[in-house]
Amino acid sequence: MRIMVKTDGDLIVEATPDIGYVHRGVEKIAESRNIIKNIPMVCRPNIADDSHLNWSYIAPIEELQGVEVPERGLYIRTILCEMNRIASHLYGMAIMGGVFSGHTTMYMFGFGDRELLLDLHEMLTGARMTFSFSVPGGVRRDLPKGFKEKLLDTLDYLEFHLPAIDRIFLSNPIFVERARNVGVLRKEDAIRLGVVGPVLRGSGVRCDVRKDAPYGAYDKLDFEIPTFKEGDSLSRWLVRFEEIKQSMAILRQAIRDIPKGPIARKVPIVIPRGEAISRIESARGEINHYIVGDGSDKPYRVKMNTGSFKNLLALPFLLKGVHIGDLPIIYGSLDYWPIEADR
Amino acid sequence: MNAVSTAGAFWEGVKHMFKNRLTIKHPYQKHEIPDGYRGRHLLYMDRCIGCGICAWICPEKTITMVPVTNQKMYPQNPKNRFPQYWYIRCCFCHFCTDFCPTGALDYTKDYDLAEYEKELIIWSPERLSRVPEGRQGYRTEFHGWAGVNHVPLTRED
Amino acid sequence: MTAALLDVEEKVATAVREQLGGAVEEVKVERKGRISIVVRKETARDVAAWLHEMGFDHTVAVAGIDRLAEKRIEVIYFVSSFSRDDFKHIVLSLKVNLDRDNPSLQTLTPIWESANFFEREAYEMFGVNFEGHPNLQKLLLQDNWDGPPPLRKDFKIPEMA
Repeated sequence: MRIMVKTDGDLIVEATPDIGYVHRGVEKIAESRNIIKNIPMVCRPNIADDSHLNWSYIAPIEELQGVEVPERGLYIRTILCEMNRIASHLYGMAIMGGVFSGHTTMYMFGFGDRELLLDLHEMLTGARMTFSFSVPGGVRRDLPKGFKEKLLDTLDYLEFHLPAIDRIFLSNPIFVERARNVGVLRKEDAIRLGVVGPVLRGSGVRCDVRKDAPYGAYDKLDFEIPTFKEGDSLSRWLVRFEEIKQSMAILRQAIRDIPKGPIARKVPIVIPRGEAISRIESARGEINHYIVGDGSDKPYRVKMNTGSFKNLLALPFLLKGVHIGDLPIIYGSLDYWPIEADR
Repeated sequence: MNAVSTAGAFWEGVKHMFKNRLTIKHPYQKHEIPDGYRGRHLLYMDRCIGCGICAWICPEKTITMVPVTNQKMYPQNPKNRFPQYWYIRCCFCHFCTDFCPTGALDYTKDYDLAEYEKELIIWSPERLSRVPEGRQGYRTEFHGWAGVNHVPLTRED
Repeated sequence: MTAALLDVEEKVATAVREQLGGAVEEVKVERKGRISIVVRKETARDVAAWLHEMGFDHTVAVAGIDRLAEKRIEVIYFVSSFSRDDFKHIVLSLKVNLDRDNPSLQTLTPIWESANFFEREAYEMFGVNFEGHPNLQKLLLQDNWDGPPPLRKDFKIPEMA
């Protein structure tokens, strides 16, 4: 996307985002394919965070069909979603702490640790990034042999390596002074603009769909929601850092408590008449899919709304009156993914 | 922020120069691929009945059903239709493998599919049925959700 | 047991029926956490202001649906709450029916500022004119697009043939 900026010396007077360069018309194409053929296409807008988009598309279809996913299927979906959240947060931290700050150390840290998680994805689903793993009725494959040991080994390594990020970046004025008190979003403005995800939790509002309206296996797992009240770019970065630790705790509990049983139910490929909306918490915010069915195997209308599109309204608001050197840090702290916003 | 913590940050970075690296020196070292990896497809021609479900379910219209020359060897396929893949379009979702009712398609670990000529990207059914370098299929390990009863493999090449 | 689970939703629906009365056409509680209200386009802004005061402070999404057989375009506002703890799990959908040949509606941006970009997208995809919007221009389509609104049902793409 482009940001068109009007400046007065070194200060920004007005900033306008210009989006739409990767608009592919997912909502229009989805009306001409049946519900199984839509799955790889609907997952592609966010390739780093694919399992959340997949679940958000499948959930209204299961609600309209009235099918109940077995327990083991919900646990496997939760495990995959939490692994995906850690990988996506490492990507988001690497972008702001590394590329937009002007060095490559954080970038290499984030991407190097992410490789271990991509190996785990490959072992479970067969693909590294875009899995298309959930289908109406359950999931496609069961946990393979040796998965539990490899997952616990990876979590032990991450626990050993994450304090290194703490020591190198958070006690170092070269990074901290660039991000502290830059792009402050107060609590009232955050609620009024309707931002979601780590941007909202970095401004002091404790809201997370996994706790407010639980889905999947989240009501049986024990975790916390990190919130910071300063509202600057450093606190948005710290929210992602703390969420990685909470996700690791969720994974340890889920892999210990997973029940035995079937992983999927057989359902016909048809959507009954009606409409339904879903709410899933992805790494960048809340995503919704609103599906209207008319009794055939193709949906009548699919409406998709993602976290990056909702956070876009904060960008022109935050950029008023700041120095132009602060623009990369503010843009990186919002963690904007252009394809997810344009669909 | 004082000089001690800044120096500590630099020392932490210097320590990493002497640790092990995560990089793999491709192509001298190869990355280990687990079972069930989604590579190109493997076709068992003595199980395919020519129903065309794989062509119907494919999201990208990759598969077309074509006849083969030695049709007498495959009496279970009376209409003489076998799948042909145009790999430029394939997104490797493997819905065709999961939906096949007789288990005629399988996963392999082959991912080097680039060619110099455009015509070679279209894989005929005979070319799809060549097993890559002594590797078996993996379908008996996975219990698919499409409700198919998996037939155990009887061939080992 | 079911009555206790739907307690909050029933209270909201009863309050809407009593206090807004003739301004709404239909109120329904569909399941836990989902309420739907159908309003007329003249009274949409008053109902929205009343809901904002009650605690629904941001829009989750704005969707348009083209019902070709019934010759109407439906615009739906999904709203939820960040500030009230007992409303956090509810998604309330506010449906407005518009005429298909000339759809226009008063904008709800003064009440819910988060609906700014969503209304721009509905304008370019369905042709709905939001009166009073601060910056009603194309958002996602290219600047020199001069065809009909793309998401209407009579605009066919080659894949549908």
